[in-house]
Amino acid sequence: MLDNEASQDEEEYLNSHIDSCIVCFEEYNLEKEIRELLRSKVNKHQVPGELVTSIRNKIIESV
Amino acid sequence: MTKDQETESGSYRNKYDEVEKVQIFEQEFMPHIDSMYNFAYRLTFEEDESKDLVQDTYLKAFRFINSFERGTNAKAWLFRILKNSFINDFRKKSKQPSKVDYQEVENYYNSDDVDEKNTVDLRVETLKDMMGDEVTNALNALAVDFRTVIILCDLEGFTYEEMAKILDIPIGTVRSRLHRARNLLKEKLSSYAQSMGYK
Ligand SMILES: [Zn+2]
Repeated sequence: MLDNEASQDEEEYLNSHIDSCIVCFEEYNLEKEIRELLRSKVNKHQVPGELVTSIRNKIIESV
Repeated sequence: MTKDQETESGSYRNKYDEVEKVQIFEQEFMPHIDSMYNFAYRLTFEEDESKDLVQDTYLKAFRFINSFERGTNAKAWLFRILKNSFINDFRKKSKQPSKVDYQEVENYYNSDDVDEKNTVDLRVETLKDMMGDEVTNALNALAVDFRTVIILCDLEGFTYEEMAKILDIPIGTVRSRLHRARNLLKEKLSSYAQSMGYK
């Protein structure tokens, strides 16, 4: 459900279940938060400019 | 192998001319270089290795561009090449073969309690206080197979079907591996939180 991979029926069932079950509600929120955390905080690396240049040069050479 | 491509066998239906090749390369492949580099970095943890891996992937992609269908998912296609290059070339070369990784993976796959309930005590508020390095370390501490599904799903937003193609595994395996990967990540995050005195 978090990944939008549940069918509509499954989605409906899970939604109504989460509304009434505290365990699953907490679990769902925790997983959602972890995903947010990953997206916003995992370190990102800048592509080295010379890598892009090097790839383009090698392609041009090969054409 | 070069001149025979002109035959009407049909196996080279989508053969592109040189101009088209460069066009596809620039328009469909290069825009993903940022994601590719970060994927490589999260697999190798090293700048030089990542550069080699990405360059290798792009050169392969160009060389085999005829097997790419224009307008289809270039990003998934590139990720698959990178993942295979990593397994076939880079992991072999690396000084530390990832034996431990496989062991951890095996143990997990063979464990009976597939649907073990979440026993990890981790609160949403705790997560909000975590720093980028802590989150990154927790992710990096996962065995490569588990790390990979988290990267593909949570960071890159691939669907299960795309992941199945990238990883050459059935969709059911994607699902269960992701489930275990998330549980493992929760454990790592929880122990980080404890060691940092969050709780
Ligand atoms: Zn429940």
